Amino acid sequence: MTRLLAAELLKLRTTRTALGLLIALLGLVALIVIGSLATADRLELDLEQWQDDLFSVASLASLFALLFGILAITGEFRHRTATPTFLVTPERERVLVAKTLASVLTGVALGVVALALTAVVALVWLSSRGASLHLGGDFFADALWLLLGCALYAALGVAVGAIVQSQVGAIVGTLVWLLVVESLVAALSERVGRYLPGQAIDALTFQGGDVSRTRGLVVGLVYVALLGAAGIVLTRRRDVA
Amino acid sequence: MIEVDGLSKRYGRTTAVDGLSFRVEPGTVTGFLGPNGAGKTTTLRVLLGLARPSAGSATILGRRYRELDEPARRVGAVLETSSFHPGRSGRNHLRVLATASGLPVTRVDEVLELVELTGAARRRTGGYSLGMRQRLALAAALLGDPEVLVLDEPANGLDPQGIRWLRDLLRGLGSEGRTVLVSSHVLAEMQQTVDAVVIIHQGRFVTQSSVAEVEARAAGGVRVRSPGAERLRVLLVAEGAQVSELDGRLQVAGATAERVGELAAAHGIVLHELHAESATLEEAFLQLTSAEAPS
Repeated sequence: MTRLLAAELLKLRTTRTALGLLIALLGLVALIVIGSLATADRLELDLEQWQDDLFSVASLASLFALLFGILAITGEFRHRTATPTFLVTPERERVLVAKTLASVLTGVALGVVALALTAVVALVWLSSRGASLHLGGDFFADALWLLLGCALYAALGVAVGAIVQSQVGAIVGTLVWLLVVESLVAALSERVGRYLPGQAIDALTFQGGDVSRTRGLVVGLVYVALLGAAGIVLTRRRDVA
Repeated sequence: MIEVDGLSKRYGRTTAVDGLSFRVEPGTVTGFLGPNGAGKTTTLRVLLGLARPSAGSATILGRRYRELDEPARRVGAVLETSSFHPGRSGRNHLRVLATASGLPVTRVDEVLELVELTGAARRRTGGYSLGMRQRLALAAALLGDPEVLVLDEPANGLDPQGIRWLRDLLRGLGSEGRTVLVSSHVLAEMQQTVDAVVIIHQGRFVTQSSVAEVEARAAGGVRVRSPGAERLRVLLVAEGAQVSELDGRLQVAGATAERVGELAAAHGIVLHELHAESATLEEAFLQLTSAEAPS
């Protein structure tokens, strides 16, 4: 498994996909953080609650983690590298597990980078305004939950990608599911909505209460396990085109 | 070594491979021949564990591919040509495979040298020509220094020079005692390269034999017209040739035109016509596969 994980990490370092996602994420986070800082009034800037909210921008990283997970597996089918990959490792489930681990690591790294960029921009901006950054105990707990959310989304991305195989299909399908279907269900019934995968995991990354976070984690893990198992069964059974 | 036994593969209502059986002995270079759509690629994909058979089995080294321990070190394969991420360099593609199979990076540079791709190794594969892709695919197959090689149309996209290079490479691999199964629909590519052929058509087995045998079997032989036909016939039969009479001419199988001419000269027999019906593997192949066409 060490070998396979090393190979998966090498794969993501040797194309520009991961780098592109990282740059897009950093650009987006910087834009939103600077926008928020520039439009806030001076009194707000110094409030710990306001600053905590500012950091929720970094939860964008979870969406990128999801995208990365999808790209990591569907890229193999799109570019037909699945053939050499499965020739070297005919136990296809091991490839999927290694890919999930690599994507989880990448997702967490995206979260860390997003948080760090937010902190750096905020620190510079605030000190130039004579305000200071208050990183209370909540901040580190929030950050950890956010990273957990990134990890879950990355794993979910690999599972969905393994099931769907088509890159465009998986990305479009996932976005429609998250933005349209889940939003609709959540609007109709919040009680049902919070058991949907996106709503559950988002409870970790957007500032939710401890109850909704614990529930979100459990629900998210259940989805990862179910979809991951489906992905493994289908990948083992299907012919590699 | 490679054993295909009663293999069938159906896609919906289409039968790509239909009860195919053959064996490839160790240490031989065997051509796997058939027209396009004969089921060669499907057979090889099943053999390599990429597709599931509908019936029957295909094994390498006595096991199904998926059950092989460290398959990359035992079996090397070239399948379709474009199995590379266009944004990844050829060298990095090989590094990924080497890492996954626990082979040292030094091996990557060795195989790049072997397929003469070192110069382009650090470029993205998206810019590779078809010939360069074939070389990279071959490099990937050779990474684990495998004893068995399964190559699907490796000559596709190679220029004449590349084809000659491939022939030399395959002959070299064969002479090292490796077992090579190489598919092609262009027989001229294979004629000077392989020891034996397996011919399939429409998913079914047609024949398996040495190249010389196939040529001989499909050969029209030698056609002779002579006023001394009866004497010549006796002489030829004594030499072990089969002789039949056709439109007042002798149709000779199992003797070359040169031999017929020599015999005639030695015995003072006048020949009015001596024609060698040249039999290339191509003709043999066409004859064999068209004979198997559905009735």
